[in-house]
Amino acid sequence: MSRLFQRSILRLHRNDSGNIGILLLLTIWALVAMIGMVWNAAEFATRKQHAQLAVDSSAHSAIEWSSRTTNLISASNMLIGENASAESILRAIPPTINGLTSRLNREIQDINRLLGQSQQTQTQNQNNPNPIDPGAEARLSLLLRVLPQLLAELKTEQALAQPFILTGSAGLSITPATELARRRGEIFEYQQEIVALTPGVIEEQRAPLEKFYKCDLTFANPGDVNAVSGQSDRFSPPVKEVNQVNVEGVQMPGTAIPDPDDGDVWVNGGTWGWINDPPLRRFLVDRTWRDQKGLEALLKPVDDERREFSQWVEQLLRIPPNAWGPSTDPTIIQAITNGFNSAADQVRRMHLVEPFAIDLWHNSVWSALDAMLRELGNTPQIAFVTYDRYPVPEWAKAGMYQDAYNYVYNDVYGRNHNRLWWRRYHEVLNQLLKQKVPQGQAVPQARAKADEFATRIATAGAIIIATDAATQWINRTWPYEMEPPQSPMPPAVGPKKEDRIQYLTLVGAAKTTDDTKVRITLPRLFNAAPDKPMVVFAQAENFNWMEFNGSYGAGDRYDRHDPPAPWRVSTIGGWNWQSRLSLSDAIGPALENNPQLRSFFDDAGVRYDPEVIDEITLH
Amino acid sequence: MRSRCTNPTSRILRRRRGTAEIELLVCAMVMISMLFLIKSSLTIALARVNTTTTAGTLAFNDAILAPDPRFADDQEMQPIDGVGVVRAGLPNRMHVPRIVDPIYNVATTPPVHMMDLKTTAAVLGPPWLFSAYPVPADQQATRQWFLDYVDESHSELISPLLLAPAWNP
Repeated sequence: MSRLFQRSILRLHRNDSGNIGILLLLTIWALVAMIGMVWNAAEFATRKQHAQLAVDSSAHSAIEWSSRTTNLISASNMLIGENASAESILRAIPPTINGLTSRLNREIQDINRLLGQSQQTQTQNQNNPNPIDPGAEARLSLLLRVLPQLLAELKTEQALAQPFILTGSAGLSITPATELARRRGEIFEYQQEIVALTPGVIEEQRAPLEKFYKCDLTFANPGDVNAVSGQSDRFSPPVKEVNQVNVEGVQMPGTAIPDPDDGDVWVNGGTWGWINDPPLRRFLVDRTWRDQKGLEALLKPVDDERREFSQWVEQLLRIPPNAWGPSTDPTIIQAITNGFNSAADQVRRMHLVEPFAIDLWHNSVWSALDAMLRELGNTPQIAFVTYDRYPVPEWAKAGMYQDAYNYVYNDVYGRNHNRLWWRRYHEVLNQLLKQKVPQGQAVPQARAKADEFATRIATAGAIIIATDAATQWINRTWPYEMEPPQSPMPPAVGPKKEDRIQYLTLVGAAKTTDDTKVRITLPRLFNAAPDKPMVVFAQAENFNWMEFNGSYGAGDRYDRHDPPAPWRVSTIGGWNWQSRLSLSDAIGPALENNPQLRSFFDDAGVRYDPEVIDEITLH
Repeated sequence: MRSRCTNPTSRILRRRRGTAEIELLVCAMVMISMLFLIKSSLTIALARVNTTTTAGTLAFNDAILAPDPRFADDQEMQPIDGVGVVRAGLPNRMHVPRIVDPIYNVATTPPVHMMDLKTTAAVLGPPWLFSAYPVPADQQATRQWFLDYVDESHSELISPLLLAPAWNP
């Protein structure tokens, strides 16, 4: 038996017939498997790539609508600014025309009155047989010589002011301020409309993209926890409607400083740091400054004429070289000199040659602008989504305190020192004069005491008021466009991660359909026929490339008495929002808050586990 | 003594002499064909992946970076009007490169068989920036859009009140 078995084994060992056929079959089987493997790997990669492309471009295109709406909000806010600036200019014209005409008329009246008096005196002198005081005569002669020329000059100035008056008056009749306000209301309605439309537009665009890519698409806002569950059309642009945004100032009524002579001396305080309409303020102030320059140019000739005339008037007011002869008595010379000086002082006190027109215009414009800002601040408007009142960050408090302190101190000191100085000067001077101290000695003494008193009291008061005001300053809330950074850093930091995820980010997912699902070659061989769709995701976000450009607002410092002025949806810098694909650090919250997105992942067999998702996105 | 040749089995073996060589030849031909097929599969696979990537890259480049967009105004994939419907006039493009990548069948030399790999992508643009980057021509449209709006806001006051021009805003 065993021999038979051995022979069979030996025969099998020696018989090699059919081996090549077996090898060939095995090789062909391996090669076919290799073809399948190559094909299937490519199929997976291609489908994955296709789905990824679908979700990348769809998410990017969806957030593009958000960028577009935000840019349109910036543009229309700037239009509101231009409209409001035009109205400020319009409002500034009447007070300027009134101020201009009334001042020139008043000056002409003053000169006419003085000229009339001088002419009357001259007539009386001519009829007076007695000798006339040489000083009075000198004074009279100077006035009669200068006043007619001043009168002619003022008439010239009136003529020079006419272009402004005519242009301004013509402008007033074109469009009433109420009409401009109505148009601003319409622009605001436009803003409301496009903001409301945006989520629907994103949804509307999703449908053709689904058809185009033959993939199911969904979008989610990672931060939108209050939205209707399962709805993907809920991504809103990063703006919000605000109202009543004027910011009250820091108030300090004043303080009493004890003085050994006067008892308690009151140092006046005030209100500092109010901000009318912070969201639109930056552009509106800048725009109004540029808009007022056109009419300002019309007033320049008036001021230039006065400036030029001032030099000529000074020459007129000099004592003429032939005022006395070589043999004139010195007492008469003194009298003549006094007479001339008296007339010159009288003319100078009329301030006829001081430029005033442009200052008057600027004051009118800024008053009108301030009123406009207050008005705008009380009406609804669109601001950046994170705009709010926030406390001052700890790291910026020291700098803000010092800056606010200096700001208030200088203001309080400047206003009170002058007032206190004159008050003490008059008190001391009267007292000394009552004590029969000669005026020559009394005046310097009074000045010295007034200096000491005003400096001491104003300094003490300003320190107390500035300390209290600066303390209030740093311990209250201020308007910021974004919550200030909590650690010292250069001003250009951009939105913090939480805000970026909550307000600026969109997460999209694509799921393959029957048309785009992975088609496995030799499914039995690879035992890998996919019965689940493939799901991929992408994250896109709004960003503004001016976040790090100091000249567009990102350079504002947090440690100054005024907080950084908003700019992100109201300036040219804010008119630069764009979309981009970003790192997928928001997929966790997006899955957490959006059931539809979760359902995509469930369909692909990926269960939502926050820890796992965090771990994956971390790497 | 019995000759081995008289063995019937040996006779059969003698008749089959040379079969293995034929099998080898056939085997070699089959395997060479299979290898060419593998190579072709690999070429096509890489081309499929590359074509898809290229379509995406071209679409994004066209929408984001191209000063002169090449893949706009696709007839089949038009952008929706969106919020632009409220005030029209701003550029609105869907950038859709349609890639046809000819792949030669490398199994033959010279390559005579060819297959086309078609793919496409779609990216919306531009975002309506003030600067209209990167397409300079877009700024004219943006500017006109703004000026048209100024007409409805306060343009009648600009000249009489000598206000600054409405553009640059």
